[in-house]
Amino acid sequence: MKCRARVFRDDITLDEIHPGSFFSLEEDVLIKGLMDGVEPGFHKSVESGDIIVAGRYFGMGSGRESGAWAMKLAGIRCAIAESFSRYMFRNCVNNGIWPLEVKDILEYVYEGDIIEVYPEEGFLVLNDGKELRFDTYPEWMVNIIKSSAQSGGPNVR
Amino acid sequence: MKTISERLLGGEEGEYVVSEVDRVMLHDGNAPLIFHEMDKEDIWDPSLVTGVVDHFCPPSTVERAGFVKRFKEFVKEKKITDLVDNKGICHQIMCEGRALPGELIAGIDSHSTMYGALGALGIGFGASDIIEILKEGKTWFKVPKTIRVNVEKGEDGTDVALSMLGQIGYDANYRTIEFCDRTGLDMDSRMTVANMAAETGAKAAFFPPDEITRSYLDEFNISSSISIPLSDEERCVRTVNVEVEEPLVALPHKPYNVDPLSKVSGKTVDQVFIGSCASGRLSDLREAAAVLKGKKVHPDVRLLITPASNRVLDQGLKEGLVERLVKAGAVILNPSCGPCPGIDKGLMAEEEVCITTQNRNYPGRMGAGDIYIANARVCALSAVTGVITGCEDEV
Repeated sequence: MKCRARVFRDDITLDEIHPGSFFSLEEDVLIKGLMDGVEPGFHKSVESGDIIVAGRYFGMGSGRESGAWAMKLAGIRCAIAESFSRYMFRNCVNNGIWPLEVKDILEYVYEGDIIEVYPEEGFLVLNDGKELRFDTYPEWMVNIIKSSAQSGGPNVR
Repeated sequence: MKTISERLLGGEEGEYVVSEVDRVMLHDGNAPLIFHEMDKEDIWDPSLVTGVVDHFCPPSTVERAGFVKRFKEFVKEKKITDLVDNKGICHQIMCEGRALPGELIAGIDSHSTMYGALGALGIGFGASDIIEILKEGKTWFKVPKTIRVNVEKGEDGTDVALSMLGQIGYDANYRTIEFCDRTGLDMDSRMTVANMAAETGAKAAFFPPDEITRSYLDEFNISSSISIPLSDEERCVRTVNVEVEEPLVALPHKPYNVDPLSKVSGKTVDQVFIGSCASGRLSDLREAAAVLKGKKVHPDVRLLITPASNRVLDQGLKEGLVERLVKAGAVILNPSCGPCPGIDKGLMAEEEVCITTQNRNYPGRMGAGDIYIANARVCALSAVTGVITGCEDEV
C-alpha cells in the first residue's frame, strides 16, 4: 500500500492518541478525538489511507481500545513505530491495523512523505527509493488483522 | 527451570501460546466497548466473571448513566452473578477474595497487573480481546521475557514502585516483572507496587505467594498452599535492585520521571488526592490520619480521599480514621476511580498543581494541570502546608 506518513514523536501515550473526554460510542465523537492530545484538530487533516509513524512505546499507558477504533474510523490501515505498547499492539491487530515495528523509523520518515508499505512481505520503500526491512507476523495473526479490517468498531460491525 | 510466565501461560519464552484464563474482570468504564459484539453471544463461564461499577460511579452525565444502566443489564442477561456495584475500585475488589495464587486473570483494564500482589498473573486487555476471552475462555499470548526486581530496602509501596519506575522507565514493555521481596512488604504495599508496575509497560507483575499472602487470604477465609518459586536470575533479562533511602516523587508528565522528594519541596499545591487503584487502602488512610490528627487542611488546598473499597472504608470508620480526616477538612469521596482518569469529582484547571498517590501523571490525566506522584504521608503533609513537603516539622 502507498500512503502518506503522519509523523509523531517517541512516548505518545494512549491518553494523547485518544483523550478520555472523547470516550463515546458515537463515531463522530470518537473520530474527533484522534491524536487530539498531541495535535489538536488532527481529525480535520487526516485522510483515509494515511499511516501513523511514531517512535518508541507508541500507545503507552491505558489499554482503552477507543484509540484504535478512532484510527480505524479515520481509515488508517497501518501504524509504524520503533515499538508499540502491548495494548496498542493487540488493539491494532484486532482492528485490522498493521502494527509494524521498524528500527530507527523516525530517522527515515518525515511528515507528509509518501511511502510504500508491504506488511506481509516485511519491507517498506521510502520517498527516495530506499528500502527498510522489518519482521513479519505468523499467518494466524495476519489472518486476524485481515479479517478485523472488515469488521470492528462500535457501529461498523 | 521455568519462568513464572512459562509456568502460568505454558510454552517457552518467545513462543506464541493459547492459554485458558481462570477469571475475567469487567468494569463499566470499558465494558461499553464490548456490548455491540456480545449482544447475541453467551459467556463461556459466567461464574468466573466479575462485573464492577467503579468508573462512572455515580455517573456524572446522562450518557454515562446510560453506560452503567446498560452494563448492569448486560451482567444480568449474561448470567454473571458477581456484580459489584458502587462498592469499590475493580482491582481492589478482585484482591478482596477473588484473585487467587496461581491463577491467570484477564482484566479489561491496564492495571490488572495488581493481581500479581496475590501471586496471580493478572494481564490487561482491550475490548476485542476481552470479547474473544468471554466467548472462548482463552486467548493467545506471546510468552514474555522476565525482569527481576529485588526489593532490598523500603517499606512504603509507592516509594518502592517509584524507585522501580525510575530505574526501569517503560522498558518492561512486553515483559513480566518478578519481585523478590526481601523486606516483607505488607499486602497493601504489594498491591501498590504490582499496580504501578503497569507504568513500566509490564504485561504482568508477580509476587510469589508466601506467608504474607496466606495470612492476607485468611482474612477472606481462603486457604492456599500453592508455591510458585521465582525464576532463576539467569533466566531474567535484567535485574533491578530497589533500595528506598528517602521519599520519592514522580514529576510531570511521566510516572518514571522520578527524583528525590527534596528536589521539589516547597512547590505550591492546589489539590491533593489520596486514592485510585494504586492507593486508598487502610495503610494509606492510617498514614494520612496520623499526619492530619488535630490539624487542618491548608485553606487553599482541596484534599480528596477515596478509600479503595467499602471494606476499607468500613475499617477506616471503625478505627476512627475517617472521622479524623473529615474533621481536618478532607473530602471523603465514595470508593471509585474519580479524578485519577479525569472522570469526575476533582478535575483541575490549567496551571493547577496536584500531588497524589495515583499511578499516572500523563498530560491531561486529571483534566488539566501538573500532577506529582508521592506516598500518602507526603500527600497528607503537603495538604496541611499547602506546599510539597515530606517534613513533619513544617506541619
